[in-house]
Amino acid sequence: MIIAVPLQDALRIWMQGAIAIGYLVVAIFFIQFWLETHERVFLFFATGFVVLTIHRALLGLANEDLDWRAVTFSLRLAGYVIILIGIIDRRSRSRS
Amino acid sequence: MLAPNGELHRFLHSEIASEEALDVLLFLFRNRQHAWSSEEIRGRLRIAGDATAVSSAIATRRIELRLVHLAQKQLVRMTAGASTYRYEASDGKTDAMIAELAAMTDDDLAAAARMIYVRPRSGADAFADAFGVRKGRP
Amino acid sequence: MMLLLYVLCFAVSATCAFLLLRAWRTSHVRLLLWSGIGFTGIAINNLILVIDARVAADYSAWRSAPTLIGLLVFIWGLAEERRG
Repeated sequence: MIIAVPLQDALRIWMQGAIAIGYLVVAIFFIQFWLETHERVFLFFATGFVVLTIHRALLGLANEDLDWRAVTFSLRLAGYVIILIGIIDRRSRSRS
Repeated sequence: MLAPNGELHRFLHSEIASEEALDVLLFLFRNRQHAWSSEEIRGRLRIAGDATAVSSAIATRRIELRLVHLAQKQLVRMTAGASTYRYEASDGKTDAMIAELAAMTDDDLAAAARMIYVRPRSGADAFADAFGVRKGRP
Repeated sequence: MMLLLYVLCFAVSATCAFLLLRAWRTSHVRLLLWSGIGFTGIAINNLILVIDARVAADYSAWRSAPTLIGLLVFIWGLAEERRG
């Protein structure tokens, strides 16, 4: 077999890496949109996606023990909360 | 009344830097059989602000700058050797848009000139508006 | 605890998908469709985690596949937007 680790692990690691880069690319596009429109929502989304990039990278790289659990949990929570704040911020600003 | 036209708006906002540049471009288009120097154009065209006794040298210089800008955008071409310019659009689509502008009434042209300065709505704007409450600006 | 997190993640991503696709229905701006599909993929991934949050196999490849597919569509749409 040419893959160095069990197939299941290889797929998991590969997938998390691919998604991590995918999130990063999306974040880069959001930065471009922010430069173009100066809409703050894009900064929130870009930051959230960068945090999720780190989260996914850790899911791929880290082993499954408890120390890392807390870190990956916090990152996932932070990423989604940042995006949520961005949505709330945009909605409240468009009301005024 | 000028109908909303995304392509024209994008052209005006990205390729034309000022109303004066638009005036110069349309003049060269209407007189495209000949090449013109900035001196000659100044004589034929009244640039906004000239009524306040701006010296002719400055007005000529201003037109020269507009011509350089238009040449960089490949809308006009400079004659080698002489410093005269003639209209030469890069493709048929651009030519059609400029012909449309040249045929406009003064009111419509004033509305079109506004497009030079106002950023056209993009997909990014639509994305941000999707998360707003009210309907976005048209 | 994890379950609460996954519910939050699903709620946020599903909200994004909903708002984008709803806006696409009225304005027909392509980017809204592609990004709506992108967030739908992420939401499906989060929904799977909500339904089946076994600690050991949390982030296996097949659970994450909807996210990857969604992201590919999303990035295609973003690139199309920049192409102008």
